[in-house]
Amino acid sequence: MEKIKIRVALSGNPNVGKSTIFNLLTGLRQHTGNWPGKTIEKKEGIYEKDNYILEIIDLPGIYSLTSHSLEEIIAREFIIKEKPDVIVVIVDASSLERNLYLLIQILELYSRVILVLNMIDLLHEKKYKIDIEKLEKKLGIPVVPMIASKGIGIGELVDKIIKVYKGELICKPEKIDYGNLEYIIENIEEKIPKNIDGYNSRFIALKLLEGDDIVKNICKERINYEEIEKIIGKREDTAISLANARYQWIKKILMDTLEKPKTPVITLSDKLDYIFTHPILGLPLSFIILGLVFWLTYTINNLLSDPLENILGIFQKFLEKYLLFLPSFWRALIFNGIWQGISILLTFIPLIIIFFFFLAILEDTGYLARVAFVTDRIMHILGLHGKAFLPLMISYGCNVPGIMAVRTLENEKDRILLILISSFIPCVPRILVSAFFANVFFPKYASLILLSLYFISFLSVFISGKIIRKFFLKTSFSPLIMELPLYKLPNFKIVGIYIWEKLKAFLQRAGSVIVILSSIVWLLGNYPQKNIENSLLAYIGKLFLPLLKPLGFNWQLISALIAGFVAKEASLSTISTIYQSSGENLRNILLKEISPLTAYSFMVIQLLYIPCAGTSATIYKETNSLKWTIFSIIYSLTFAYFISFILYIIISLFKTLL
Amino acid sequence: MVKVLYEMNKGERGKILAIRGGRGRVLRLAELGIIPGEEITLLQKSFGPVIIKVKDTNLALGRGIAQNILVEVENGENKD
Repeated sequence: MEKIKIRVALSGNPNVGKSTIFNLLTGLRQHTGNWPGKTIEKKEGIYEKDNYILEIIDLPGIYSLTSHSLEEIIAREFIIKEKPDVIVVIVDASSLERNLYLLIQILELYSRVILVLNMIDLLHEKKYKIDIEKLEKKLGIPVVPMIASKGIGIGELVDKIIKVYKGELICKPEKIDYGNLEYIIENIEEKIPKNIDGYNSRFIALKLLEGDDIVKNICKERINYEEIEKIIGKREDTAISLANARYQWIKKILMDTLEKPKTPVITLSDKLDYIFTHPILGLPLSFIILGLVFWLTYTINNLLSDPLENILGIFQKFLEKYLLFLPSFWRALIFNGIWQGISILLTFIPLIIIFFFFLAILEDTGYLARVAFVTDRIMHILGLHGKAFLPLMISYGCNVPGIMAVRTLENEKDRILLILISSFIPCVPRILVSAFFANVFFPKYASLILLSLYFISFLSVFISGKIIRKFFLKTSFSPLIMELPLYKLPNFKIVGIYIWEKLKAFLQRAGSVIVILSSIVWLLGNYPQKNIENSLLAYIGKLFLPLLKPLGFNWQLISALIAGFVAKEASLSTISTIYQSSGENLRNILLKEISPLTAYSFMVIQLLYIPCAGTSATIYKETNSLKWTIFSIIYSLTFAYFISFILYIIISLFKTLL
Repeated sequence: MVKVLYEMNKGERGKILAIRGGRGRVLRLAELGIIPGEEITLLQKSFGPVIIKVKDTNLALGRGIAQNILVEVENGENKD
């Protein structure tokens, strides 16, 4: 028998447990992508019961259906264009009043809606009482209480979705009365068709009164907008009046369905917040907790990297045996070019698993929002806000997970800015290369030199933030407005699914880019002759020599930088290959060939010049835009060049003066 | 007494009087429950942002926003 498909959309505010419900329903039968042309994640999955297949789509978390953010526009357009069979609106039961605001707007657009009261246990913890039957009657739609983190209520939700689809449960949502604004709404409705582009006339009228630009433009194309403009007039406050009317309506609904205790109960969350958001204790505590996460992430990763490399080595030997029949150039390409790229890709796997395990826990428990609160002040120095703290911090280990963590920010332009400046944060491999040079050229002051590099990178983050904001994004970082969800225990099954999804998306979308880029760089070093001195790499190095000659560079250093694009530590091994020496010998050669000042310029360039292949691929995956990926590469190249040039001149001047 | 939200003391309650800012910002705050007439409690102050309680939700607001919300503070030190 043919199975019946039901298309279900999940909607709700951020932090209401929407993705938990999505993950519980779909498990591993889900797919993550991006909304067309957007940096916003799109998640789809399926759930089967009896004769039905539920095709579930997780709409972005939103507070409203206006056109403030891309997320809201996506959700709105999905509802009217795709017309799902059922929309499930998920709300945080412990803060119903605010959460029902979104429900109202969805009901104005669509009627087959089921309301899920998630985290009903937190409502009980607050000693609130809710009459669900009465709420159903007053809203005119089915209501399902749920504790998603424990899987309670999922079955009932599925039953009700099927019943609504079959028409056994009827949704007849109550129409909201906007009081003295009703007559203006009706006036506008008379002037427009019953339906424009799938939006009903009432919704259009409301959005016009709220000053929604997208709806306004749709209207201007279709009808005589001037007449409507006359009706709306110069009212500045209608949007707020509408919001007020909605809240009044919600109050009326909740008046005899939700009972609150006379004196508010002090919950566990309140007590925890006393410590975690404390003006003096909060910040050091967050440093300790995040420092621990940082340390654990990279320590566990390092413990795993040796065994992983051994396994890869065994596998490589095994493969080599079976590919002996190939000509030697192809064998070399496969094992030194492609295979090396695959190894680099694979070494990211433990890092991503471990980091996202901690990130999921920080997010799920609600602590991450507190980190954003306590670090907000210091992030202001960089022109950012508190939510930027964790991504930047984790970038000091490796930029790849740092950039992936940028997803926790809401605003698209904020995310792009943060991604672009993250690549100026020196990851561990870059510091290792610098440390080698510092030890060779400034053995007495090595740590001071490294410290100066950290300072330069910090300054670069600061300056580039300003430049990119002012000239390229043309916007300031949005101020912090963030909900602090109640603390709760994470569900480890959900955490597992979350990690798996992140890893899968990384391998699928960044994987091929990393492998291709590193193969190209290998080819450069080995073509047309295996001898690196006659290779394309050397040729390109010599080509760019005039640009860097004033800083005392030779082509060998430039070729090393090009090779460093695969992975920053590769620049060191390339230098060693070019000079065909290592250890003490290499030291002596370098000291003879390069002046200390040139070495320092090299370190500065090496610190800033380009996001490595893995980072570039991640930037591409996260921004979903080739334009921003190329921008990041070109910008950082130019920036690094100018900074090192300026530093070179300043230091030279000092030397002649002294 | 009328105060700017940013200058309220920890634990003080009041009613929102007005919100300064562009239309978009004001509407955005309204959607989060921060709307004139609504009751608001200042839960925590840091050296920049503040935490408030409004409509059963705890929200963190950056300093730039907290400086643009006017509150009629309940003058009841004897309360609670």
